[in-house]
Amino acid sequence: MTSGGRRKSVAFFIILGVCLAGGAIALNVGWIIVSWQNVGLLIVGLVVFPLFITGVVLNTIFLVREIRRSEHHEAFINAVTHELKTPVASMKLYLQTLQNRQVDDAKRQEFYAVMLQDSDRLQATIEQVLRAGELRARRRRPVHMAIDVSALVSECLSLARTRHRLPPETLTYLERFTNNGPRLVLGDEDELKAVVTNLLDNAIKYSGPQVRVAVELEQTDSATITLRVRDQGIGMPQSEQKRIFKRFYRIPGAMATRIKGTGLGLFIVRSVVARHGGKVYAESGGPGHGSTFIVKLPLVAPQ
Amino acid sequence: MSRILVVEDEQHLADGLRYNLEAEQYDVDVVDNGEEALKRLSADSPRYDVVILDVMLPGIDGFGVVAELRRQRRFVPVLMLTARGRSEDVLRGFGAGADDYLPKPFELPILLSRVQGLLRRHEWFRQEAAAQMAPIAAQFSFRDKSL
Repeated sequence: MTSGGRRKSVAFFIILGVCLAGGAIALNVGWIIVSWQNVGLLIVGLVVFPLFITGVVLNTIFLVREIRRSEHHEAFINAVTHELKTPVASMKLYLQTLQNRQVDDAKRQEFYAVMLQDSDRLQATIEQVLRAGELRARRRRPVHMAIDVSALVSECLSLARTRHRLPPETLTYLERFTNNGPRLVLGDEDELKAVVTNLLDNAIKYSGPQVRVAVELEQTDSATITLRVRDQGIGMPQSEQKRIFKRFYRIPGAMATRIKGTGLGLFIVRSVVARHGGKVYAESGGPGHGSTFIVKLPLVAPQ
Repeated sequence: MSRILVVEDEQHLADGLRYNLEAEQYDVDVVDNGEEALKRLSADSPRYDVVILDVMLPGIDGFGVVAELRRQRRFVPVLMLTARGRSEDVLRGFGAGADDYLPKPFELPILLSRVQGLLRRHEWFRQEAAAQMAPIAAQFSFRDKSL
């Protein structure tokens, strides 16, 4: 309902902008006709009116862009509120249950496990929000350490398997290297882990009940390493493949809105990859055909 | 035994609520989306005495569910439970037709008391209605058959 109201206000500002620009053009034409004989006035009109028109058009564009941004921001606040409060609500519920009732031992253990998962979820959200803030402020310089990408990806994979309780065959890993030796990337280990973990979490989250995620690490040439994370999930149309990396942006539509998140994951991925001198992009055969996320990072030249 | 429908898509909260409500001797059913909730509540059997309804649901949200119920003239008591605790959200919940509203995280004893309160009022209302109907029913007897 609220988004409908805001869409109307966006439409209003676009129409207002068009009307004002149209009015200015009409005035300009009138000015030219009236001051046809007077070259001085004519030149003044030809300079001043286009300036007005440009101003109005730019103003409208910025205004609409600002409204869109605040819209995403509000969706983000809602999502974060939900992501922060739900695990707290759950932990509180279980703690008060343990406090107020005689709970048998098996149930008690089950409740502890649930609360641990909730605290993990809460921690993940907090870290995600802090990391996004940090990346945006660019306060921290990346620590330039040589990191073995292959080991880092393997570690993230086993973590993801445990966290999402996935059997090994649902999340496969393949390395395609022509020669042996470590593949080193200069960068910040925590940040690179956040990239891989975010991509894996997304692939699993957007897979639906049948998780089939294939991760591939390939040395494309002597200076580049490519990570591919391919899922068989809900996919996305071409038009979304760039937007999804924007901060707070989340894919609209009934399928995707069932999946909860803050809209920060891919923003973090893109920012970190860019800071490491790499590139990231998404490919998809369209809705229902799965997605592939491709990260290219520059390798350290072997000594 | 009172029957309660819990509409909540967060598995942990749904399980915790079920555990506590069952410990209070209620019959509990849990669904995780608005469409299923409406289907359950539009059926005449089983009849629910209270609905605990989350707002942020996949598909039709909680506001939509309660508004649709009231449109169908189904007046089962609804307690809304949600992470959105701003006054505009609370007002929107009541506006849609909720009977009570509790922001998450909530206090378990308070939630249980509010459920009890809703059940009590529901029960009084039912008894009152039955008591008012009794003399009318007695008047409308036809030979040996009565209403």
